[in-house]
Amino acid sequence: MDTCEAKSSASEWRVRICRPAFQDLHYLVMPRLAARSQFRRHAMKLRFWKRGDPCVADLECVQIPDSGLFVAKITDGFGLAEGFNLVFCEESHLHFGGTLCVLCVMRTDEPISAAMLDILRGREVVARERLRRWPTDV
Amino acid sequence: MTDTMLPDDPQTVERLSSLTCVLEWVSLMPMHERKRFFGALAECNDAVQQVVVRILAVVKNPTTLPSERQRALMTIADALFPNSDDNGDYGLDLPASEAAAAAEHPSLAREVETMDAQEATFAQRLRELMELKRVSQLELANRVGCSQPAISQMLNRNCRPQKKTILKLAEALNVHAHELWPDIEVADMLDAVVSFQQPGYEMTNEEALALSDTSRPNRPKIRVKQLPSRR
Repeated sequence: MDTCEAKSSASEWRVRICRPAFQDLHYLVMPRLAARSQFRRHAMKLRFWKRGDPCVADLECVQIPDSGLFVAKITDGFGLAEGFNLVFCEESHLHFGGTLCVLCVMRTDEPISAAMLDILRGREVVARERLRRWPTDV
Repeated sequence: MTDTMLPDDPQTVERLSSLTCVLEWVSLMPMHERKRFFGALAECNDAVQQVVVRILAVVKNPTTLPSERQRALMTIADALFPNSDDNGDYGLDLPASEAAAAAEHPSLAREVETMDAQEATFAQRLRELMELKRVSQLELANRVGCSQPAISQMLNRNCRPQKKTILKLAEALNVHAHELWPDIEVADMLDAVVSFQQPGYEMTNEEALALSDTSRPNRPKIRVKQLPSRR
């Protein structure tokens, strides 16, 4: 297995989506196939993300205070909502380059409540633990 | 004497509360599911176990919204039963998932082709208009309020622009939006149709009036000659 797919260039991240975020997209947020495919294109812009920059491509980016979580805001609603928030975290692995993991997809009108923050932090912990493990066929 | 035997340090109290929460939740499961749950929990490391316990509390909290509860349960399932892709990595690679989904769903493959064509047309038209108007990437970025690399990514088809971005670019270049993105009005109509189909959507008065206007019979504008009777 070529583990150097992590970063094709010095400025690009490997972007992954965890299973709960994938399920958010399919069952909670975007049941339409076409909308999900367009959403995926917008999410792929994350590979150009730079920590501290207010934007990634044409998506506004903010950090959730007191956390290692970031939110990229997609304003296209695809007829389903005013827009969507994509919550992600960064995991830099010494050997495989940097990875951004999409942890959650929410509609813009969904607040990040205390319960939601617990869920997001939990997903972050699980994602970091899993991403730090060596792939099985190395 | 009884009081001194009870734990009073906050950490122990919290752990016991969490354990109680887990046991209460597990008591509702069938026996074989309990074994599976505890087996999976035992295989997790401390950090992930704490996540499971913490998020169980979210599930049990009566003030948790239904959507939050569903998200919490999906998180617990992922923590206990990890899923890896064909390479053994956690989660899905986002670009690769598009190709995989397109291979599985022919309708999605067509959607991907459409998106590629839209982005190619947009990039070409943007480049042509920038040359025509003699606007540099940096100048356009300043007018639109984004970065020069973002403009470059759009020109190189590495970035699908949002509708808001298309409108800003059109305004900055002093052209109509459909000159950059020909399908923009079609997309609006499709989005409107989808929004009508959402559960709980209530039509506004304006929308109702617009629909009733379009539902009037389409009377011909050309005067037609009445045919003679058959008698």
